[in-house]
Amino acid sequence: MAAGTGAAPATAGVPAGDVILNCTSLVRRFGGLTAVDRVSLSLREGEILAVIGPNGSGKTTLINLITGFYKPQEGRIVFAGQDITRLRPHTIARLGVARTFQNLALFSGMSVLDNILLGRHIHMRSNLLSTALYWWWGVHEEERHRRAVEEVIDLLQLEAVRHEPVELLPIGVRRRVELARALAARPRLLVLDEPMAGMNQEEKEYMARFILDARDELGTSVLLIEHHMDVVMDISDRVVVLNYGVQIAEGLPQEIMNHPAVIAAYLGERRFDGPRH
Amino acid sequence: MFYRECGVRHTTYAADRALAVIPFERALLVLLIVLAAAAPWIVTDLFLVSYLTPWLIWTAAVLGLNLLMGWAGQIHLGYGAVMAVGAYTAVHVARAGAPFVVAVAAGGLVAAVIGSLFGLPALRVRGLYLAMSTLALQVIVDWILVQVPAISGGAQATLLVPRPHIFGIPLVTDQARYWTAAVFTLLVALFVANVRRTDVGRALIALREKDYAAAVIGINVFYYKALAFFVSSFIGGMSGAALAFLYYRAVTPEQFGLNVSIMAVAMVIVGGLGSIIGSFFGAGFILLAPIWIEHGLRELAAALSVHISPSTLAHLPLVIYGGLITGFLLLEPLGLAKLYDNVRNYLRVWPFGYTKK
Amino acid sequence: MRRWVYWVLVLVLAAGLAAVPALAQQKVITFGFPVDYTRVYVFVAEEWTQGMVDYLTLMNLKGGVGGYTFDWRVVDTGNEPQRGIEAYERFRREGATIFNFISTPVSNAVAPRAMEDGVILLMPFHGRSDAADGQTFPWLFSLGANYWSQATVIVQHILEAEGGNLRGKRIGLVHIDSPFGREPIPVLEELSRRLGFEFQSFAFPSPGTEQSATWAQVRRFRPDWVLLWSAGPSQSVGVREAIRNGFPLDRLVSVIWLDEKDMNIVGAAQARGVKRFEAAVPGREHPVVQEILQKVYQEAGKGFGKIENVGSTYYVVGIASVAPVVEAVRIAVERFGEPVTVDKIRAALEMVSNFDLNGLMPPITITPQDHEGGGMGRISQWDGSRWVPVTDWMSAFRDVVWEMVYKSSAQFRQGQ
Repeated sequence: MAAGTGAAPATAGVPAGDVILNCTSLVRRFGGLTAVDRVSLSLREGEILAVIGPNGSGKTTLINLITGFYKPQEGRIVFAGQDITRLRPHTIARLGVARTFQNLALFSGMSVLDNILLGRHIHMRSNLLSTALYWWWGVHEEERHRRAVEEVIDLLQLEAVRHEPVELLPIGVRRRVELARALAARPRLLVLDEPMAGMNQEEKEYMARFILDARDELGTSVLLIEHHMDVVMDISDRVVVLNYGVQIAEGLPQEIMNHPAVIAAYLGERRFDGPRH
Repeated sequence: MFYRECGVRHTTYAADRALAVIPFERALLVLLIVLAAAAPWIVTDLFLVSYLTPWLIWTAAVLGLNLLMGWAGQIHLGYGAVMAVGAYTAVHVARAGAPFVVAVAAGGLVAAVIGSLFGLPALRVRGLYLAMSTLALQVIVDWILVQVPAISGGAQATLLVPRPHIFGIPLVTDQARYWTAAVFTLLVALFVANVRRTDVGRALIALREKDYAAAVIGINVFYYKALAFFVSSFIGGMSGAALAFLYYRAVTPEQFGLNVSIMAVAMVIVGGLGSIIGSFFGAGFILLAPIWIEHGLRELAAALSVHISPSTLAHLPLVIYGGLITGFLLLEPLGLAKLYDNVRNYLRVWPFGYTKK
Repeated sequence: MRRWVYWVLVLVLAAGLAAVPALAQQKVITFGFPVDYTRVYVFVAEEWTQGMVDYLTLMNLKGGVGGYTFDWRVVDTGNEPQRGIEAYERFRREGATIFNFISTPVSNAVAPRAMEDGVILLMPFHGRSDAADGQTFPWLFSLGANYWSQATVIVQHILEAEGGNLRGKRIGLVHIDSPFGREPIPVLEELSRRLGFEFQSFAFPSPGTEQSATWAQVRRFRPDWVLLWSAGPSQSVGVREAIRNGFPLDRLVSVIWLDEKDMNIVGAAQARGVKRFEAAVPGREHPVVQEILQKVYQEAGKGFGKIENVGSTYYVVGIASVAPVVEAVRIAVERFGEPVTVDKIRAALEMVSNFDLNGLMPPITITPQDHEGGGMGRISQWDGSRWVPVTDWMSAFRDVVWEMVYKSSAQFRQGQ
């Protein structure tokens, strides 16, 4: 129980925003395996919603459905009033959904700065012509977005590694760069796939702080996948629990902690210290 | 040493984004451009005609291929065919009476359209399968050039290239041809450098590295792959046309055969995938090394008065040349550009070698 | 270890850069022979170049011609136009005024430059067939029967062998699928109209190492005669296919590119009977070849290549492709006086008349109109160990050839 660094949004209850994401009884099967089985959830603007569950419970499949990598066999996903169930990933990104990956998906061979600048891609009005006419046209667009990127760099304290190639950075910093790239897009919904995997306690606390900052300063809604329950309980407003693709509980962190089905799912493990492997 | 960065502080984003960040490099760049412009008075006309002109035009072609292979990560074994389409289109357009610049642009455009068509499989497949599909382009173009006399220029399969004019000035002298080639290559290099430092270039590299991650930040993977083929074929087509007008002066199918495609790929790899300066190095090395090695051996044999039979003298350079390529790639798999980079990095921090990155 | 590699590279490149063009010496005519030793023309380049250089050496050993001696530059082009152009530009600046590339693509790529620069380009048995048109191509010289002429000579032989009547006969052309392979087709079509024989062409894909499908079609056509039109390794494959299909070999006539090496690959005895077009007398009996053997190889030890090559089919082709130029230099000194310039040699070449190098080659007569020199040749037959002539030197159907030449050269002029 160490992630809290002062502010305690977890106890603030459900924020009073509009619903920004609404998933209705999503089903996704792979062959005989049903990875996601009639899962419904909704997320309000400015809310941090955590989806937890043991390994193989369908968390990552769920966000792959939301970000368009998989299409659900049944159900509907509505984002900001628009049905995005059948849209392709890059179109969904354009609507304002950004995500990070559990195994990191930075572009090696590029600097931190270039990686984060790529996050601005959906906002850039640049094309071949503006590139060809760089000195009259392209440069202004580039500099405008550089400014926006520097704000994100500032927020996530990446100034020192700005020009470093990403592949040379330690994993904790790389996760931060990936978060920065997602935030650079100024998304309305930020989907984080286990952003603290492989981090030590201190790095986890930093990351928790950055997520809260992103929500508080940029007004982003956050869908957080984690199985480190300690951090989740501290920063999320609401929690959804999946097990074998089925939604077994939903509620405030406090309610979830004492939910019998959740305890059963994490059977054999000490309460909320997180599963150990 | 020369590349010293001490005391160089960028106070604007523009300065931080400059093509040459280090003052010494900026000076070097200016010096090189001045030297290139003054080359006709510096080097012999043999050097100008036989080495500088083809080297510059080939560099432009390699820049186009490097954009596709080095950045977008798509292999292309039919680049010679793309250049052929550009060259033949431009020559036919010029023979129909169009001005030189229009003809070259038309060559680029037609090559871009055809090159993109054969790039379409890239949207679905990659690696070896894409290599096969681009190889098909080469085979088909070769076949058409050999089978259709209307395109290749009659039974002799040689098409005379009309004399190019720029704004009414005929390009008759070797110098004029050289300058035109130099300006063309400079424009292509600047364009490619600008692609690299703007969103389009970043998007291309992104889809090379991880296409799913590119998609999730809003990059339309299909569109950018097609764009990469389009741009690279456009540059390739124009380079083919430039070769025809400024260097060959007559086009034959052999100038753009499969061996030429493979040579282009070798130029990209030896020079360094995704490197602009490497494109210059790679084109120069692959194009000129065999010739200079042969000269060198000949002089060496003459100096030591060793008799080497002409047939051996013809084959020996190929062996040395092949050995050099293999040796370089073993020494530095990232190509000649990386060798330059090593020197540069060494000098940047000299004498404080321990701060080396 | 690594440093060692760098140093070798630096040394080799530096030596190449330092190669200072030799100063043009007095009273020397320089030839440029950038030929393809390593790719496509491997089968012919070595012997051909050796023949040319040995003949020039012989001339030098005999004191030159009209006070002029000969020099030459030889380099490999790998059949690449780019390297051919580089060699052309370099040799030209080193004083070379007469070139033979022994490569169609390289010759064709260099031709516009040679015509602009005023440099003589020899294209015997390769390059542009329409170089025969001296009015359109003042600087290009075929100096020997082009492929159209070769086709007419072969048909003339068939006509004579069939007793002067080809009506109802069937003649097939088995050719490599390339511009070179297709070149005789219009001539043969025209002749089939004139002489009333049935003509059909059968292409096999390059490089021609697999021809069985093509020959199956040939068999269905049931030809009386077959013309073999390819070069290099595919030739022996063609002969072998003819044997396999039971085709009588004395009715198989090849274009000029068939030599004793091909016969030995097929099997010297099995190949008995095969015919070919011939443009120079092979063997070592001829006095010029004897002289080369004696003076160049035995006395001076200046032979350009292996002594075994002397007198081979392509070796004598080499002699035949420079001998008229040497003759032209003699005429130039005689008629125009010194100094002999490239313009004078060019003009003198157009005065070479009835020159046959004591019977080593068919008599050629070059005029400002005719740079081919008459288009003569003969048919010879493989007797199991050597080539035996079966006809005299002859030419035929010249009007058909010239029609082709003018049609093609007109196309070229359009682009100028």
